[in-house]
Amino acid sequence: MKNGKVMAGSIRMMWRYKLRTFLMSIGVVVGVAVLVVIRSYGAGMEANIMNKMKQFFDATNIMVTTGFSADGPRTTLKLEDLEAVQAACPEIEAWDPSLMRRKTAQYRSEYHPVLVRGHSEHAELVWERGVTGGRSLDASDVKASARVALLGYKTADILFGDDDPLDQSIQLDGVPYRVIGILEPKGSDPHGEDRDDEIHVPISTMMRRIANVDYINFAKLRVTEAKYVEDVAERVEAVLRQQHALADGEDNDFSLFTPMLIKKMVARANKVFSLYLPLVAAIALLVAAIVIANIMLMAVKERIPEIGLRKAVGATDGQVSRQFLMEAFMVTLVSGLAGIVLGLGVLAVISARVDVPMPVSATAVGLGLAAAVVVGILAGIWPSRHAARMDPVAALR
Amino acid sequence: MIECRGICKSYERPGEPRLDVLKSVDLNIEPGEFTAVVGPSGSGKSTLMNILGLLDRPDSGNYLLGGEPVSNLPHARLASLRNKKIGFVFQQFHLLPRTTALENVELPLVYADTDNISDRAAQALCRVGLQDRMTHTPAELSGGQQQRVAIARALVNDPEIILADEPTGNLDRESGAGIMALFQELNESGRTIIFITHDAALAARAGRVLTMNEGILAEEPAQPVGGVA
Repeated sequence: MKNGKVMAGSIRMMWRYKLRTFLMSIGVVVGVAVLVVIRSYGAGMEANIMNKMKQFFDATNIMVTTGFSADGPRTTLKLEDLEAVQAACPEIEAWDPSLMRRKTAQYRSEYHPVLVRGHSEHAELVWERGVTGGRSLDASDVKASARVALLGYKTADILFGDDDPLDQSIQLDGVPYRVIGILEPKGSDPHGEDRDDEIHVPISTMMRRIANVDYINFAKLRVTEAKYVEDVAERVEAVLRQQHALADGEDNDFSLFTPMLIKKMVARANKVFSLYLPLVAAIALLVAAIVIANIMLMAVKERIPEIGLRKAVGATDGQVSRQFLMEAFMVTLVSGLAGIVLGLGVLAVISARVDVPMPVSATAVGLGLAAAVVVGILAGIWPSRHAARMDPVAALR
Repeated sequence: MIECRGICKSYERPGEPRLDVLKSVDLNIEPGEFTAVVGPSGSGKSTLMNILGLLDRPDSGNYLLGGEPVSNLPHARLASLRNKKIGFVFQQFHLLPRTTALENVELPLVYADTDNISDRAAQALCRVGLQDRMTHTPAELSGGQQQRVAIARALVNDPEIILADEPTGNLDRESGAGIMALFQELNESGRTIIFITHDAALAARAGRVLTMNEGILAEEPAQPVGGVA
C-alpha cells in the first residue's frame, strides 16, 4: 500500500468525521497561531524599539545619567566630572551635557508650555541633529551664556505660525531669547517625548540663568569607534566613582548606558514575547497533543470493527498503524498550516492597528509547523500502536 | 485446496476450566466445493472459520492452504494471503460507515497495491447487481444490499475461497434467499465457498454439509438437493 493512498484515505477520514477532526485540530490551530503571532509581534516590537533607540543612541554612544535617589532627582553629576572623563579617555570624540526644565515660552500673545534643554556646542555632533534654518549652538554661545535658542519645528509653528522665527525674540520666564535656528525633525524619543516640540539653549545659560544649579541631568558621550565603547564605559565608571569619592562596595550614584546594555534591556523587556508567551503556546500544543491522542484513542475504540475488517482484507499491522499515525499527522499538519494562516491574518491586523511593521518570523512559522508535526506524531503513536496490535478476531466480534 | 490435520484450539479462562473449542479437526476441501458448516452456538464453527481464514492460529495441527503450510507464517505473510486468496463475508457486513459502496469494495485492492482499483471495484459491484448503488453509503442501502456490497468486496481480489460466517443471519428471509442465490451462482462459476449457517434449509442448498458439535467436526451424509426448501 502506497503512502499516497494512506494519505488520501486519511484526508477522506478527516472529511467524513468533521466534528471529530475539528475538535482535534482546534488546539493545534490556536497554539500555532498564538506562537506565530507572539513571536512575530515580539520581534517586530523589539526591532521597532531598537530602531527608535538608534536615532538617539547608536553603537558609539554612552549615556551617563544621574537618575533618582530616595530624595528625588540626584544632583551629583557635574560638568567637571565629564571633563575628567574626557581627560582620561582619549577615545571620546565629544560629549554633550544636558539639563532640562519645563518652562512657558512666549511670543507676542502666544504662550506655550515647553521642555527647555540646555546643550553644549557639541550637541550637533553628539546627537547627530543639525538645524534646518539658522545655525546650531556654538562655543561662544556657551562661553557667554548667551540668551539664544533653537526651536523644534512644531514649537516654532505654534509660537510663530506663518512668521519667520529666525532672529525674532521669544521669552522664557519673561527673559528674552533670540531664535538662532530651527532644529531638524526627530520624532518622538524612547521616553515618549516629542522631540520636535522643545527648545534648546546653551547649557551654561540653562545652568546659571534658568535653573540656577551646578549639576546636569545627563551627558551623552560619543566614542570614535564602536569597538571601544564597552571598554571606555568601564573607564568612565571608574573615573566617575573616583570623582564622586565612592568607597568600594558603595553603589554608583549614576547610571551608565551602553549599546549592549540597552540591547539587553530591550530584549529583557521583550522576554515576555520571546520566551514566556511562546512557552504558553508550547503548553497549549502539549495539551492539544493530549486531546488529539485522547480523541484518536476513542476513534480507535469506535473503529474496532473497521480495524478488524482492514486486517481481514489484508492490511498488515504496519499498515493499520501507519493509517492511524497518518491520520493524526495529517490532522495536525493541516491544523498547523491553518494555524499559521490564522496567525498571519491576526498579525496583519495587529500590525496595521499599531502601525508597526511586523515581518513574519520565519522561526515562528517553522517552529509552529514543526510543533504541529511533532504533536501529530506524538499523539498518533500510542493510538496507532493500539490499533495495530488489535486481534482481528476480537475486533470483528 | 484446504487440508487440515488435527487442528486444536483452546482458550484459557481465568477461574474456569480450559475451554477446548476445536478438538483435533480434520478437513479436506477441494476446489469448487460449496460447503455449509452447521452446529449449535459455541460449538466452534466461527473459530474454525477464523483459522481457515488465517485470522487466528491453531494451537496445534497442520493447515495447508493450496499446498502451503500456513500455521507458522509471520503476520505480514498471513495478511498478504488473506488479501489475495480469501474473501470474507460477515454476519454484520462490516462495511465502513460514511463510505461509498465503491470505496468499501476498493478496500482489499488498496492493500493489494494494484492498479485500476475503481474499475475492478465497479465490476465486482456489477457482479452482485449493485451497478446503480455505487455511490451510496451503507446507511443508504438495505441489509441485503449491504451484504451484496460485502460480497463484492470479498470477490474483488478474485480470491480462491470465500468464507462466509452466517451471511444471512441479519437478513430477512427474502434477502437471505437472494444472497444464497448469489453464492450458488458464484459457486457455479467455479469458486470455493464455505459458509456457516443455523438454517438447515440453507445448509441443504450446499453440496456438502459439515456439522460442528462441541469442537468435533463431522460429515453429514449428502442429501438430495432441493429436498428441504
